[in-house]
Amino acid sequence: MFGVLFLKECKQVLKSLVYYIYVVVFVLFITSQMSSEGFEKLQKPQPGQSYYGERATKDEKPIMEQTLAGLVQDVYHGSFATYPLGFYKGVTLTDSEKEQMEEILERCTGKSFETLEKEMLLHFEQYEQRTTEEAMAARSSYKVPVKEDLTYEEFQAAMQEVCKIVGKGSSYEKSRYENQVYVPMTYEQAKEEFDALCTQDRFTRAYMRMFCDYAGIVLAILPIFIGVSRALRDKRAKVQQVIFSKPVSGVRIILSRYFANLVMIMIPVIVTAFLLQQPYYYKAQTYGIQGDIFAFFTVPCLWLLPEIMIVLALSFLITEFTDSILAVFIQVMWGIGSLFSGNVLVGDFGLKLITRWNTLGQSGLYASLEKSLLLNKGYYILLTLVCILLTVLVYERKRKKGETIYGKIRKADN
Amino acid sequence: MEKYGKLTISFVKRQYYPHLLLTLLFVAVSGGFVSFKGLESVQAAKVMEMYVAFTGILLFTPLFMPEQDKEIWNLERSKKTSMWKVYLPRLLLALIVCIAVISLFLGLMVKGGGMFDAARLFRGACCEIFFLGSIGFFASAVTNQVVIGYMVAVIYFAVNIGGGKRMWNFALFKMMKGDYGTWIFWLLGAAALFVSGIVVREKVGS
Amino acid sequence: MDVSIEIHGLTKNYGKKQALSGVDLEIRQGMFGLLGPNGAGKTTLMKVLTTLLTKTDGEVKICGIPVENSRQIRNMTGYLPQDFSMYGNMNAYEALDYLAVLSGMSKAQRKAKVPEMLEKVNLLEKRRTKVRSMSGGMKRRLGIAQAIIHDPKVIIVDEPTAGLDPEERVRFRNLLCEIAKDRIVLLSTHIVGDIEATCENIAVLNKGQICFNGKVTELLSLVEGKVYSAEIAAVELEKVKQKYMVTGILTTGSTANVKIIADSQPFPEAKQVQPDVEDAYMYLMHNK
Repeated sequence: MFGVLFLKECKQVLKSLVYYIYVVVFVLFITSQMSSEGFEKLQKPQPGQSYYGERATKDEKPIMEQTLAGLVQDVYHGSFATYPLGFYKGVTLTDSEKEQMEEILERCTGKSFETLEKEMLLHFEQYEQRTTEEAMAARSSYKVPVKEDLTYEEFQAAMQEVCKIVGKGSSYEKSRYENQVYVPMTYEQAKEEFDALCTQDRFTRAYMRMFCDYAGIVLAILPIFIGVSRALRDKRAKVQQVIFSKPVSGVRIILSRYFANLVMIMIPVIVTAFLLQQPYYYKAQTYGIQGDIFAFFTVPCLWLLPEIMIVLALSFLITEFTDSILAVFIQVMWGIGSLFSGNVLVGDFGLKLITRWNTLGQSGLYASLEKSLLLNKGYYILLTLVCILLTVLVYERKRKKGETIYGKIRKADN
Repeated sequence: MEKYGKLTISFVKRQYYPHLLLTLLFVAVSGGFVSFKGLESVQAAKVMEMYVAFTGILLFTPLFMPEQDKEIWNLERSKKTSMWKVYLPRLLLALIVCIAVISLFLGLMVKGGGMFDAARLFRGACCEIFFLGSIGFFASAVTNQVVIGYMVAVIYFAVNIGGGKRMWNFALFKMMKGDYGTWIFWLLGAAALFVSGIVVREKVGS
Repeated sequence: MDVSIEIHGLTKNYGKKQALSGVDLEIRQGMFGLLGPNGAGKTTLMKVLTTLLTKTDGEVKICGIPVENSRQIRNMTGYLPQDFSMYGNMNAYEALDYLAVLSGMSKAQRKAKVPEMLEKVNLLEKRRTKVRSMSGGMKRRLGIAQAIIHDPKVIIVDEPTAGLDPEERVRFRNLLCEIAKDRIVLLSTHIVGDIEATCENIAVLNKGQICFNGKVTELLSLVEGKVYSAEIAAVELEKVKQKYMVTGILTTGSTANVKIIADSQPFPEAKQVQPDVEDAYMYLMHNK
């Protein structure tokens, strides 16, 4: 019986306008983002190249230098971008706070702020920052050398002071600055990366990871509408009473609806992933790399499925509970907040809803972070189970206690 | 006149008040999300365009909510009063609340010692936020599904975060890039969508 | 198994408001009519019977099974709510099939039963019609089909004829009678005519209490010899209305023919007439 209900629910999904909007938006978004991403990574690095790309580093010296470089610029502009609740919050410094910052910089670099300011302006003058790429190049090459005897512990203490002044969610928090510093690779490192890309990730997996990065952004938002519209459909069509009076259990009703919607949301994801993967798979073959043909399925199932699961489950729960579209606001805020809070575009998973991996490759880094990714995904799967359980409870309660729980209980008017 | 007042009050009481409460909540928690202290024009525009803009979606999208129920819709259409006379006061109410919210945020930013052209920002913010709201309004008018109204508006917002190059002069987030010149497009776009939304509701099914 | 509904001391409160207080009722096989004005508690009573509301106090058993065993009760009952509807994008066949699945019917059962039921309620030819474009009568018929498809012992129908045209109403009543052959059909209504035409046993509910329970003939005997008809001048109408319980007025020119309920002959011109259920119902309501 579950199977029959499931199929009937799938058919319902196919009749809803929301679903088609979802499919169109998702496919347009993902194809426009992925179309330009490159085959050049398939080129084996050759000795003697001037540039081999960059990779994230855990070395203390570049971390200190680049973090301080950021701090000099922020102090110079007098404003800090923070993300205390996942949302952008600009923090401007008062005069006394600015002095404190200048003192911290002086302690770490041994130079007065005036000197640092002059050096910074000189550096940026060398670059014509007409395009975003040029501006980014200027930023990434700008470093502030630290005082010779500054230890990493002293640096960390100084950054804590900075955080105290600007509040939570700045890029001077340990979890941030230790994950966002990139240094140019040497030939050996580049070769090591390339080998890992070919053997560990077999290329398609890395490609699919990037696919999941983009897809993960829209999938934090779009399934909300599908969930809300499904959960509201009973009320809208006035079928609650009839369905309530049937012997079928709430568990079956909710689970069949949930899985039907989940599967229907996943289908376009998997199909687009497959179609986008194919050219890369064959291209890789011509370079002698045997791609992982199942990456289009396995990688999105790890990266995207738990995200869709929790987004859909939460929208079911909130909507069943309130019989309103409240879930749209709560969850859109969560989604957008999660997007903005991640200004580290690769890694730093934590318990973020949207896990970013905005790069093709970095296989070594991925291997080291895989455990924290699994933790993140496991957490959301667990949370999904809780949400579904609560949804069933809410549903069964509604079945017995009038029509709504939250707010007014609509009485059985005679 | 009194009749329309009554109709609108009943709309607020039955359908709209949660949205007003949510708007209030949205304003109340803003301190946690945005800072009002000493903002420059780019930052002030960012607050308006990326945060306050949500009130537009929140306030304008659900204006056709009661008529989602076909029976109510048919009943209302059978009455003497034309439907646009029912919708217009609701729209006016939403416009007033929206302007009030924008003014409140603007006031807070000015009070926080902001260094920006307040009049210019106010004009731009009103037009842009109306425009974003009118998208939700129109989408829910066409589909008769409030959820889709929200969906389309949120997607438009999100698409613009991701760039919005193809949106021509109707792109959002122009002011935080220093471009204050497109307000007239927003205004015209909003007016067109509000009017066509109401026209669609008037024509469909009749 | 014995087909019955037994209700003892049933009370249902919504907060402080008492919707049902101490209702006692026993219902046996056949059509049973539940009559009462709007707001009397009819829907509440029916929702308790269909497990859509939990009772505050009392004992309710359907075919000997306490109503708390909601799964079993739902298996035995079919419910047609007052404002029955289905997903607008389903056609008659799909809607019925969907609800049959929710009633736990297997594929083979559904394949046989769904067309059979559609036939029974005269919807087989319209099986491709979408719910959203159905008339009120068609929706009702679909509603009754879903209520009986799993062959329940008890069928509970809330205000089944509201909003139907006279012809549809008659057809619907006949359909219910046909169904009631080997089970209980409990129907609620505030339209007296429905009951008169179909039910042998009735109960009248007012302000949450049963004020009559018995056969239609017993209800009629309440007003036996108390119903009078008289021709009066139209100008006197107001006076008569104030003084007596008037259940019918037919004005022709300057005279009016009135039907009056009174314990004794109200005035010499008044002639005793045969009472009908409506008279009895009005009498009952006004003596409360």
